[in-house]
Amino acid sequence: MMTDKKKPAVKKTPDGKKKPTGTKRSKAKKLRLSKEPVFSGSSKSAAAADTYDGPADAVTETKPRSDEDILDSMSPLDRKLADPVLPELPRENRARLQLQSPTRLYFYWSIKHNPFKTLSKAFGGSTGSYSLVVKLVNRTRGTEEIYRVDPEGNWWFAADPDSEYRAEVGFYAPNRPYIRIIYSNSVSTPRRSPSRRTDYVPRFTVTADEFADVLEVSGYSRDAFEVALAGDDRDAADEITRATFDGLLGSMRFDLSHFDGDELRFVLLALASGFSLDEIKTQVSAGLYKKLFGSGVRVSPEQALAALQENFEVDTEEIFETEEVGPAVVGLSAINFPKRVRSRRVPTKLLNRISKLEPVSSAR
Amino acid sequence: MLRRLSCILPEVENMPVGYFSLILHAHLPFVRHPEFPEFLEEDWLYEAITEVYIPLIFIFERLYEADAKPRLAMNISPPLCEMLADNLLEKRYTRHLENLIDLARKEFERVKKEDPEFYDVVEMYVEMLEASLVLWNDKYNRNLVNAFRELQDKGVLEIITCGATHGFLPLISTKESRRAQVEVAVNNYRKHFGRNPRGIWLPECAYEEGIEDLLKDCGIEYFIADSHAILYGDPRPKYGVHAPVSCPNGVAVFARDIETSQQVWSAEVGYPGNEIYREFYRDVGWDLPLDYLKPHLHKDGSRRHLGLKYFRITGRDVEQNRKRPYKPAAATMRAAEDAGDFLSKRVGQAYDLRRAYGGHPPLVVSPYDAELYGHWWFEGPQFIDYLFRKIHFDQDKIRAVTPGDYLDSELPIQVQKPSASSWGEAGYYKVWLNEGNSWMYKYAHDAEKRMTALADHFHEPNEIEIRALNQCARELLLAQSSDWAFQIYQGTTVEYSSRRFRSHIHRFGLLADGLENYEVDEELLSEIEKRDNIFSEIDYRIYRSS
Repeated sequence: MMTDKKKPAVKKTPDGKKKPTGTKRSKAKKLRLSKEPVFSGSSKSAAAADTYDGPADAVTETKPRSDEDILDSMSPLDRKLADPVLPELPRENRARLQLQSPTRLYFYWSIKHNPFKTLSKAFGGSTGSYSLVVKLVNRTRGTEEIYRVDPEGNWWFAADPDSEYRAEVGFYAPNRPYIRIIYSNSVSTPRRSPSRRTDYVPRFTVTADEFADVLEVSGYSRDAFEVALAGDDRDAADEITRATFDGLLGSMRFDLSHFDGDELRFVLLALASGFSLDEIKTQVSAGLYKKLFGSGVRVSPEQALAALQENFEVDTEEIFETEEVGPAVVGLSAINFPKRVRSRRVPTKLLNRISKLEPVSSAR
Repeated sequence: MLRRLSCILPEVENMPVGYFSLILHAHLPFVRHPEFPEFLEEDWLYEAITEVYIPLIFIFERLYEADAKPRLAMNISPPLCEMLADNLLEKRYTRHLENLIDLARKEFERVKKEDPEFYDVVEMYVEMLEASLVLWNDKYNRNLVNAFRELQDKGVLEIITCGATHGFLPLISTKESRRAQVEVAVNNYRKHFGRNPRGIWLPECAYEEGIEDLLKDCGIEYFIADSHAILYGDPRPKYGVHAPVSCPNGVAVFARDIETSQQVWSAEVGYPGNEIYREFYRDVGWDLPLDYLKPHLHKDGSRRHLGLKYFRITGRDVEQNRKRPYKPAAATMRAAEDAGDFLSKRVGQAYDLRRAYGGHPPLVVSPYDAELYGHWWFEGPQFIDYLFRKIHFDQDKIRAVTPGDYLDSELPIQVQKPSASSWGEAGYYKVWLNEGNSWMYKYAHDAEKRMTALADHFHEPNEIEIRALNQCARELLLAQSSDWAFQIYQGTTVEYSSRRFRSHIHRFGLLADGLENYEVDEELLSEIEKRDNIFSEIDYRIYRSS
């Protein structure tokens, strides 16, 4: 779509004030395109450049349309249509959960009747410890989280990929029964990585190596590396991955069994590549981030790399490579390019020796 | 004419190394303001007609006449079809083009005497715009939908549909409203193109599980999705994005190839950033003195982009005031070179992919916004012209096909459940649902529920109620356009986009209130019908609960 064009910005004087309206630029005797350095636009390429300020009269003689001016000249019917106001929505029970990304959900709600009155009717005077809360339920992993809220509002939740969620609004009190008032639709967060499953139809079956190639030629280099790293025996790879983590965490070891092996390997790779936990916060599930960050995990790149080398025979030179091309595109479209955030390209030569990336102990 | 691809089956001789499917997505939001004599945002359509649609139609016709056998898919979205077929906008566009020609001619006389370094570029504009007017008036009879339709009938284009108003399907709350986006689009396609669409460009390539069922119900065979719809689908796709997959219900999915996307679209490494090409952001509307421009501006006298741009990009880090004059002939040569480069890279890519896929011929699917070609990248239509000529005349390794052609080949297709995705920034729904535009959804969702309640309630409505119900459907559809949330996120035309969303929700509410109280204000209804006249064929009953 091309709906576009930022208008040239209002020209400002060096002190940051707008030039006074009505100040006209003196006319040249001849009309010429302005080539004087009157512009203060960015120096980006045409494809990505912001617009420029234009000549002085572009500002001082430009009259922005004012809503008031337009409305004043209209009939009552026209005005009714031209001054659109959003309706006050009727007080109803609403609970809508929406996917924004594999790791983020949006929830809005409202409750038709005053929930505290309803609570009082049910419990008489003993409602003091109850709070109105939103509860996000991960129905895949059986986890829940709650936050105190008002009877109407919205909330952004951090989420785990590849999980089914439902949000609720209800009353919560420690050591008392939770009382649900409304609940939302279910939302499934997608995986942020390739499927682990290969097709059972022989014509379409692919090995991990072959699929890593597919991802590589499709521009999904990071996924290619991870798929190759995991190999065909995913269970063995996951086991080794967790063992690798245990080794790194030393005395801090904790239960990682319910975290996805792909994600754990991604964290290992990221740490080995020099990223901090904070830098990959948006790249990992909220649960894993909380677990690692909350536990104060400190793993140096050298430690992570050594662990990878020991368990997966990863060659150092093959991990550290160039950044992906950025997301900027010609025009105003906001097109996705894969793994643009801090990912690193794995050279093709790595894929020629992909077998080296099988877990050392996995059967071949 | 739909060509079958039986010739591409592996056992047949002269098989190319790979296939290339160019898919152009032509879409603009429905912008039509009869309540004003002129309206800034209507320029979006007028500029696109001059810079994109007429040049592309002209080039496709020339390619066809030269027997270059161009073959591509093109989505012409329902709002765009409706605007291109609208009498008011047709008259206003003619006025717009004539005004631009007047300015170009005036400029031609001026630069001859005063600015000879711009002679070439202004001469180009005069010739191009005068030719456009002749084509518009005499050849296309001011109806570009018919011109596109003829190109489909000749076998150049496979025209596909889109959401009725480009509604972002995963963020629509009811099944009935999602279905309406698809069903209204298909009905509108039939109205304009006289047949059923084979494929659909899902608005913003946004997919989530279940959408394929709506498509199948409407007879759609395939949709276009982003790369990770397939790459992250289950099970693993044997041929990645270089072959379609089939949803379990039989609807096929074609996904975007990243390499071709970056080569053309990337602001950093893409062809349009070449220093020879025309600079988009310097426009005489901001360069020439206001008094001189006044006869060519709107009555409010505000400066705006007028479409005459005299400079070339010059260099990546060159400031706007240091740009050099544009040289059309050099840019044309560059477009030819880039087309050659693009094709040679496709050949190399095809060999690489074929090797990676164990001999299976790859299909490279390259979807772009159509408006990239001509509007943002002025030389884009020339690039396409050269590309198809080179594909046909200069080599036999790559063959241009459409998704429909590929399906006709009956090559075996892997069955897969695609992953939720979109082609927007970060690959999911962030662009259309974020802190800046999330406020929109509770109003849209409320209207969606209310529309179905109204459709269910009115079993035997009178004539005015039918009109009001149909107009409610139009207002809801217009409110659902993904363009409003997109522009709010992008920070461009935020006020206009926000107002448009509020307007349609407001108008929906006024009419729905009237229906619910059995008191439809006919004067109000007529005025809203006059303004938002999209989809004359609409039938509110599509919203009835299933």
